[in-house]
Amino acid sequence: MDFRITHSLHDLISDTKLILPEIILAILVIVILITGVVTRGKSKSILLSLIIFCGLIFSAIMLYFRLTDIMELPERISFSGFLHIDSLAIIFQFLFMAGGFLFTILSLAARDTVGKDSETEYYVIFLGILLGSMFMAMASNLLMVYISIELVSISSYMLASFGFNRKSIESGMKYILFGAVSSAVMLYGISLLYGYTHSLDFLTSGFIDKLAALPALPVLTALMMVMAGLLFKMAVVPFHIWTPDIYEGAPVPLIAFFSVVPKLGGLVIFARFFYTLNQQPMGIDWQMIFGMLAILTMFIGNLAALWQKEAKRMMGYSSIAHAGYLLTGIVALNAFGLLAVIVHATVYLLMNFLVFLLIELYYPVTGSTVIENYAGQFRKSPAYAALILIGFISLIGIPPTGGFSSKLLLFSSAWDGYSHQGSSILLWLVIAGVLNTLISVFYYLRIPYFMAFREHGEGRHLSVLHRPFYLGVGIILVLFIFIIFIRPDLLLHILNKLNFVYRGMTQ
Amino acid sequence: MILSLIVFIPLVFLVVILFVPPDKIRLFRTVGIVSSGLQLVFAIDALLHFRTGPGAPSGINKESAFQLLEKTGWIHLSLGHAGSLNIDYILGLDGISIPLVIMSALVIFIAAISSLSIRKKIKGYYILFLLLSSSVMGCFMALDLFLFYIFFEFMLLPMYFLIGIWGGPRSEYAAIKFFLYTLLGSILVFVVMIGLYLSTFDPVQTGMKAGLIVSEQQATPAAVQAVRDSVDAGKIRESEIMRTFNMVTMMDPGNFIPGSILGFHQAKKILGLSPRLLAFLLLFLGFAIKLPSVPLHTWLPDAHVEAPTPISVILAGILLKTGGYGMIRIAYGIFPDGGIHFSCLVGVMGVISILYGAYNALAMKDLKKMIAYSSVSHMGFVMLGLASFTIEGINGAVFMMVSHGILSAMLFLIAGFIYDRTQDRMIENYSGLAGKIPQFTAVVVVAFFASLGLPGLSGFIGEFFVFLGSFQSHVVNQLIPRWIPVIATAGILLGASYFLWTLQRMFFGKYWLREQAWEPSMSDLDLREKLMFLPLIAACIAIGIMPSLVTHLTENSVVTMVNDLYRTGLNNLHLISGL
Repeated sequence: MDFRITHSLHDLISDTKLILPEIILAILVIVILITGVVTRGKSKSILLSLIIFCGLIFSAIMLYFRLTDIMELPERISFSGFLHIDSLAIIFQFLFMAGGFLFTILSLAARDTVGKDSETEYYVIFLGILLGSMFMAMASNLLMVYISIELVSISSYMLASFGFNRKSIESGMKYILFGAVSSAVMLYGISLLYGYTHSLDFLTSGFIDKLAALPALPVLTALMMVMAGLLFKMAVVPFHIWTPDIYEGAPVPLIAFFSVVPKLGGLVIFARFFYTLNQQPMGIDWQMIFGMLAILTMFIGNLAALWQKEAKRMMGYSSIAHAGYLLTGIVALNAFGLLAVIVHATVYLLMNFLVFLLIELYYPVTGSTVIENYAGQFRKSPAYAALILIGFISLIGIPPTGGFSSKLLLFSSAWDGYSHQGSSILLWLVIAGVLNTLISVFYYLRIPYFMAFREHGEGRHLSVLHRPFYLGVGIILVLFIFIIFIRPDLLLHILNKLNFVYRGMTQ
Repeated sequence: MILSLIVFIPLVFLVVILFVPPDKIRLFRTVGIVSSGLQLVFAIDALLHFRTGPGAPSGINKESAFQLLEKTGWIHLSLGHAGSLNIDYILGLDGISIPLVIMSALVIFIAAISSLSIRKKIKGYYILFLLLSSSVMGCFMALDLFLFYIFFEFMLLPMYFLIGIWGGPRSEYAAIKFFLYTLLGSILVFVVMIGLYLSTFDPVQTGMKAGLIVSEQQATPAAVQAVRDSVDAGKIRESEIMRTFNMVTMMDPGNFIPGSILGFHQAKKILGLSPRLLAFLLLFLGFAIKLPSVPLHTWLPDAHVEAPTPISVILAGILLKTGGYGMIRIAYGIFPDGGIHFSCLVGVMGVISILYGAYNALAMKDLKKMIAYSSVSHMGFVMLGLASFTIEGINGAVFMMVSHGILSAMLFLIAGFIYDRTQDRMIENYSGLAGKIPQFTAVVVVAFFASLGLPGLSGFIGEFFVFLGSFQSHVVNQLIPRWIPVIATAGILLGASYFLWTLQRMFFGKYWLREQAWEPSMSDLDLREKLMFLPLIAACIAIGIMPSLVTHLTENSVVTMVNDLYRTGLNNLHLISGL
């Protein structure tokens, strides 16, 4: 007994160096809190973002070391099975880091519009979400899943009330209630699963073997409870209702970050869980269940977005729809699909940040994010308008943008799955996916439509945008979007080199 | 090189004018004309290098059949277990694409001259115009499905803005309607495209990967066959199969992976149809939206009425042809089995388009709308010709597209001529224009008579071939029954009546205008307008008198297409239904 404790203590200490990137982020939270208290004045937000920037660089370097570690050993299970560090996790963690950097830049652009007195909280929320997502990507134990999801959730509860007005408090309250219920349900599901299997390591074969031996109904109930928590985070229908309110109330940079990173975190856990479930026949057609959910998510997200008159709410529904597209690749249940999901996640990160960057840049000109206020902008500042147009084209998935390539890969993977596995839901996924592409044209083109076809209302003086630095950032994002279209093989080459493990059903 | 030049010249100019301040109007106009002029020059150069007659490369289903071929690898994706995917940059011309390329280059050049009348937001206009002129050309030359799709889809966005910003009062509605209809069409093509590349493999590349073929030079037919056999026998692992987007590879039924969704040994049925037939249907519908065919045509009159003149010219002259071209090259080229199986459907849709388009044209009060519906009617002939799957019919379809490209350009310029002067296009508001503007009337007479199919002018030849083919089909291959072309002949009668009636109402009789204020602006053709009409009239008369100018380009390819593809199609059909 004594030996075991010292032994695991020893393990714990030696494993600590494996999570250095996360430790740095945690330290960063403390540093930001302290700096936030002791500094005042105009330079505060610049100072804070500088610290964050440096912290992120450190963390990214550590992440790189973790990657080189992994190259020697394909995967590593540390903290006695709590964390599962493999290349899949690291790929997504790099995406989260990239999101973090983009967020910092975006916050610099937005430093006048974010509340003056709440910069510290603002950055702490961000770090909380980032840290939680980093752990989500590695979680291999249901307890760890729960803790990391809660870390993100609690941060985002604050995010929802960030506007400090009646409306945003209300939406925050709603979100907390929803979130608390979903957490409770998830916890209940986890406890049931523990009862069934005496284990929380959902990646081990023992876990799934035991579940497979049980009758379908109780297993289905418990698993759906756990899944509900995950789907809530990813904003998959029917757990999506909270999304648009939060999007409307919170500052743009946080939304840009929030719309991508935790969603992908949830996606990684979902992917691991889903692939494991399909290793053993359980008499439940998981593909059918989640395929249906993906279809519903796409349709409801896109159809609801059609009626929005406010850019941020619209993007909220757009993010729901994209959760559906991302699910398609996972549900396809092949290595190709996972690859497609990673490519789409990368492109989605880029194009979403691009659109939010421009929404932020336009804010001083338009005065609000009501879509009608974008009228006449093509004339006033054509370069900026062209950038946002490219962002939206990519979100629709029209060539020559990365959005087209990634959608091509996603739908191909589903089609490929259909021709190999013969599960008809995959064919319907492809059909629903392309139909939704068509529906999404209506709302994605609405802002460019107002920009190009409508003249701005009389009497309102329109100032010309002049933010060359951020224009440059936007152009770089656009270049990346184009490069992913022209040479997707470059990205896939990197991914193939990482040699990530697909642990789904063997074909 | 020359084909790439035709595609990319406008893009080079585009990059240049991006950095020019928007008040340099003369420069933008010059760039528009120079760029399209260069495209025309290179297109003619391509024509001069194009070999025809006996001994020249012929056919459409082998890469060696294409001339001026340019091929480089573009994207090679390794997809792990799903094999790998190859996208090549391939441009090439055969007998079916070359006449369309020449026609398009001419029409774009005329449209560039016509664009001189654009008055607002000049810089934006030319940026979009150059994008459009690049992508339409690429569409006719691309031999890789992915590349084709990109060009095909990339026309939408410039067109959307060109109609929406520079168009008439209801242009926003028309623009979004155009966008959605044609995007729906592209999406149908997109779905089939995914299915196709998951179902076909490149035997040469696969052989090289699996070590069966050493280099591309040593890929003899026997070696290729050996690769196919080992794929058939399942000897090659899935991860070594090189999938491809190459259209020409897809045309060979031997290159379909056995058991794949669009392959032949596939007992699966989707909605009660074999996946191959369904794929043909999707492609056909996708392109029929663009063509457009009744009942998918309703975007066209709106788009035309609202679009500015040069854009109408490009829309009717070229964009519609990408639909017809896509049908021939992709729907019929890759799925001849579907073409044979659904020949009646294609023929009936053609006839409905001919008659319904003509009936509507007869009822239209707006000159431009009348012309738009006449386009629907004429494009029906293209479908009828295709449905017959005979040498005459397909020749007729291609000829019809070339001729209609020229004629519709003229017709829309005519509508633009009147609109420029009076801002009004209602037929009933004019009478006896012949006495006042005789030169213009002469142009109108040529265009109208050519469109209604007067022998000696280009429209006649196309219709004649189409009818020849579709009547013969009953004897040659029994694909379409005789009553289909019999009914279609009524379309000629209707066509004659709406054109002649319009001519009589607007140009003959006593000179009268609804508004006195229009009186001073009623001047005859100016130099710019003469420059636009003359080449078109010349082309219309030239190919009307000497149809061989077009047919000697097309004949080799069409003969191979009909002979080889028809046989392949029957064979495929047999394989599909045998299960």
